[in-house]
Formats: sequence, structure tokens, C-alpha cells
Amino acid sequence: MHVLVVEDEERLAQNLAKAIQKNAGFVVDIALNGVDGFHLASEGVFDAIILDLMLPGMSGTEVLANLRKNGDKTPVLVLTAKEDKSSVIALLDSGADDYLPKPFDLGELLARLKALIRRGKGQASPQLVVGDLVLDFNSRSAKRGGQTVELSPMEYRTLEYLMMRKGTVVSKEELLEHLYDYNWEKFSNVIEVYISTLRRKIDADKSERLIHTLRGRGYVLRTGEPQ
Amino acid sequence: MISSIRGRVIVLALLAQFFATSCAVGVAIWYVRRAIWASVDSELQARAVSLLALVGQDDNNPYALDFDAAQMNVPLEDLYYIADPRGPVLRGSSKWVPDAKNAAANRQSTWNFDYGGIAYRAKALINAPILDQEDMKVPQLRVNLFYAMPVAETESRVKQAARDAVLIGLMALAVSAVLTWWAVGKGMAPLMELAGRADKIEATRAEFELPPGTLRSAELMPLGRALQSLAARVRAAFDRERQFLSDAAHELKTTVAIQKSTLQLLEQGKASEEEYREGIARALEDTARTEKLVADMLLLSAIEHAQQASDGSMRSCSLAESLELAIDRLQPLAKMKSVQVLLTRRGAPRVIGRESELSLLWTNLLENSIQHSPIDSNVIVEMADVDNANCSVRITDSGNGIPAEDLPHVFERFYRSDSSRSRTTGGFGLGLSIAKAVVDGLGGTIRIDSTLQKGTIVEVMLRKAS
Repeated sequence: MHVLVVEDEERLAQNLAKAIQKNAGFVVDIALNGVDGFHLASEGVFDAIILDLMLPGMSGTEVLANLRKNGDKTPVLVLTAKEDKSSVIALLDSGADDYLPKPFDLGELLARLKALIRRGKGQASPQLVVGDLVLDFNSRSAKRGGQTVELSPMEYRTLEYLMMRKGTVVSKEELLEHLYDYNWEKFSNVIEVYISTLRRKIDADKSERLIHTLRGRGYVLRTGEPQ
Repeated sequence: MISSIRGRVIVLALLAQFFATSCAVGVAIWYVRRAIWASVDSELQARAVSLLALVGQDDNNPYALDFDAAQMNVPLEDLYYIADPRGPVLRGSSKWVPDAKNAAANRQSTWNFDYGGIAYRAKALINAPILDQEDMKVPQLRVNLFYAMPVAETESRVKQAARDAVLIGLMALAVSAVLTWWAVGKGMAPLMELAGRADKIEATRAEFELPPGTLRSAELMPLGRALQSLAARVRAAFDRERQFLSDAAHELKTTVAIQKSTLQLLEQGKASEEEYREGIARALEDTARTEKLVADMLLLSAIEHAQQASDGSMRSCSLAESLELAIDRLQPLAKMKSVQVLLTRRGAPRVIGRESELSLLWTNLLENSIQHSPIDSNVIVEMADVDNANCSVRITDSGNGIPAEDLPHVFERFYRSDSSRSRTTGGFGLGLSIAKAVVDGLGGTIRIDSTLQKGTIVEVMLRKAS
């Protein structure tokens, strides 16, 4: 998952990024002002945006309003020092999906972020099930047929994304967008390597194949096709 | 002394009433006395004259006096003495012999005396012509007639009247005292009403409304208005505090959020000793920032309060000295950036203020200028007398300048222009607010002019110590 953090306090932004990376294995980009934040959010593809309200350049409220005006449906979690009810109502009404007052508990922020992303993908429970493949968000582990599958962080991320979009064809570009941050050089070969590794670990010696390649279009994770 | 106004007013009113009542009672008693004695005298006169009527000419001797005792109708208790002025006594009751010479000499024809233990009042008709002289061939016959009536009863009547008057006076006084008490109490009611309303003044309540009793009272209106303006000031101070806290809330919450996240990050999962060390170092940096924020906020609040307190710590300070002190203090920072601070002096003005505040003012302004100056540049400080009453300090730097849209806001609390948003190097936007608070407290003015890419000029005008 690819998350954007828009927060002008550099130290806080860094802490958030580190926490998200360590805990959820997501990939994080940081913007230190509203203009950059809006820019990155519009140009890039993110699974969630953490947005501070008091930003230089463009205020958080403006960023949110503009994103929604452009039809961007990325889930947004707003961080704010204002706790009065009318501000909160205004926030949620203008398109925020969740909010947290500062100072916040890091654990709570991570939990809400993950829930936000799951909801954004239409996924309610912390467990993803496709066939006999079970993915647990909280423990970041995968089990096939009851047996744990050892995955590297990157492999997990890839599998997680595919499972979130289960049944849908996911292009290499899309995978690149969601699995790598802004700074990473995007070579699509990398994706192929991970897919093949995943296949080896998950589909090999199994009666049912889950990861499928559709030439020219991308990959899809679904049941229903025997090996 | 009585400490209650009501008590004092009542006592004064009662004293006045007592005085008035005493006068009235006195006059009444005197008047009654006179009236009673006047009536006694007229009775005395009447009896004397009726006795005189019985003195006539002797039938045998027209030169002699005769007394018709048969028609005498004198009350037993009265005394009389009739004598021919030529000598012989005609008649007298008991053994009373009035002192004729004395009476004549006294010129008063009535007098009081005691005889045989009884008080009498006597009337003398000296050389009174007899009434009805038949034989007019002889000269008018005259007689000395003395008549006395006992007056013990009269005296007791007078005493009784006096007693009655005094009693009535006292009763009237008592009633009026009660009425006065009640009236004064009622009169004080608007004051108590105002006091009660004032007691309920709260910083959060809106307008202080004057109660109806006060509105109707010319004496209480000034007090009422004074209370209104006092309440307004209290409210304003409270609002200022609230505003300050609300401004500060965001900053404080953010600083705390940073600290919290740094530490919680460390808490999560396992980290190497190196990571822990680094994390703790960062947490300490965060703490230092919070410390500075809190200190700045308290400083700002203290300055604003000190101005209202106006204690005796204001004294005459040398402007040049305070500037030199600040410049000296900032040498390390200036050296780091190879910035030269040049001070030019014109005159030697003195200002009334607190040295600590002046030092703070220059330090804040200079620090700002040095921070924004490029490396190896100059900051110019010019101090001068402006006229007889004022002096000025101008600080010029050649930094990046402040954008025009930010200039009106630079003195606002926690305001930072977007371009100088680097919170890590910059402060919290309180430096200039503190400077302005100090200048305001000294009764001066401060303004900032700036051109982008050229530099900034800060000009402070202060009142000279006279």
C-alpha cells in the first residue's frame, strides 16, 4: 500500500512515515506543505492520505476540497488540533473519511489508517480470504491450506495488494504505483520477479492456482481455475 | 464611630429632629405659660377692680373713703388690702400688708410672693381713682388697692402643660425615628441593589446591566457606569487570555504530538541500541522545543500582565547601554554566520522601562535580523534622538525580506510567514509578538518595512525619560 503524509512538521511527518513503514509495511511519501501535498496526491496514486490541516501554501481543508472536487476518492484521514464539534462536522462533511486530534496515539493512528484502507478497498475484516489462502493484516502473515507461508516484506505487500483487488486485473503499472514510493526508480521487471516468487511460494504444489497472468493486461488473483 | 452610612444618616437625622422637637416643645411651653399667667392676671385684675368698685365716698365726709363691706364677694383664699394713700387703712384681709413702696418702685403692678406658706400673685392699683364719685365738688378721691390670689394651682397647671408638651415631643421623636429608620433603609435600597448586582459580575457574562433603582438615582449612576466599565475591562482581559490560550493550543498540541510520536515509535517493536540512542536524542530535541515554546508563551503573558500591574520596577535606562548589551549577547550567533552588527549613536537618550524588557526587545529583534541575514553581511543598528520627546532605534538587515502579504500580520502571535516556515530553525512566531508587547508597555511604536530580496527594516520609537 502507498500512503501519502502531508504534514508541515518535518519531525512528526518522519515519525509517522517510520511508524507506518515499520508497522504496516506500507510505502510512504511525505509532503511538507499544502501545495506539494495536493500536487503529489493528484499526480500519484495512493491508497490513503494522512492530511494535517494547518499547512503552509494551501491549507489542509483546501487540499481536501480540491481533491474531492477533482473526483479523487482516495481515503483521507485528517490530523487536526481542533476538536470542537463544528470543525469536526465541517471536516467530515467536506470529504474527510476520518480524523484524529493531536496529540494522537501512534497505535490508534495506524489502526485507523489500516481500517481506512481496507474500507477503501471494500474489505471489512482484517483477514483476507481467497480460496484457502488467508492473509492476516495485523500479523502480516499468509497461510495457504492452514500452513504459514514465509514471505519477505515486499512479497507480502504485493500479495496483499493482489488480494485486496481480488478478482480484478491489476496492471504492472498499478502495482508499481501502489508498492513503491516516489523516489523509487520504477522498473516493471521488479514486479515480474516478485510475482514469480509469490507463485512459487503460494501456488506451487497446490491443486488450485490463485495467481494468474493475463498477457498484455496484468495479473489477477482469483479462485476457480485448476492447475 | 458608627461605620455604617445608614447608621450615620439616621443618627444625624435624629439629632436634627431632636433639635427641632426641643425648639418646638420649648416654644410651646413658653407660650402656654404666658397664656396661663395672662389669664390669671386678667382674673386678678377683674377681682381687684370689682373690689375697687366697693370703695366709695363717705356719706358724711366727702373727703373720706368708705367701704361697702356688705357687697363684698371676695373668695376666702384671696388676700386684699385697701388703703387711703393719705394714710389710714380702710380694710385688709388677714394680716397681709403689702410692701406698697416696693410695688410702686417696681413699676410692675403684679408680682408673686409667698405668705404663710402659700404662693400668691398680687395686683396693685396705686392711686386708683374710685369709681362712681358722687360728689364731684371735691377733688378725685384715690385709693391704694392690693389684691392677691393663690397661684399654686396655676403653677401646677403650668408644670403639667410642660410635662405634656415634653411627652408629646418625645413620642413624636420616637415615631419619627422609626420612620427615619425605615425611610433611610428604603433610600439605601438602590445602593444595596447595585451592590448585589455587582457581586454577580463574572468574566464570562455579557453586559453588566444597571438595575432600575440605579437608573433612577443621580448619585448612583456614576458608580453604576464605573462598574460597567470595570466589568467590560474584566471581560476584555478574560477574552484576551482565552484567545491567547486558543492560539497557543495548536502550537502546544503539535509540539506534544511530535514528542509523543517520537517516543511511541521507539516503543514499537524492537530497535537496535543505536536506534534507541538516536530516538532518545530526538525526543530530547523535541522536549527542548516544547520548553522554548512554553517559556516564550509565559514570557509574553508575563509582559502583558506586568504592564497592567505597573509596579515600581520601571526606571530610567540608557538606550545605548541596553542595545550594546543585546548586541554583545548575540555575538556568538553573529559570528557563526559571519554577520557584523554595527551600532551608530546619535545622542544619549534615556527611556523609562525595565532593563530586562529592553534587553529582551533588542535581543529578539536582533536575533531575527541576524537569523535572516545572509552569511557575511551586515546588520545596522541606528539609535537617535528624534525630537525633545522621542527617540528611535532602527535595525536594518539585508536578508530575504518579508512578503508584502505577511507584513500586516508579523506581530500576531504564532504567525509565521509561509516562506519562513522552517520550524526547526525558526521559532514559534512569538518573537515579534513579545517585542511588540514590550514596546506597547513602554508607550512606544514599532513598525516593519521590508522588500523581498533586499532586506528588512525594523523601526522602534520610544518616549524619552523627561
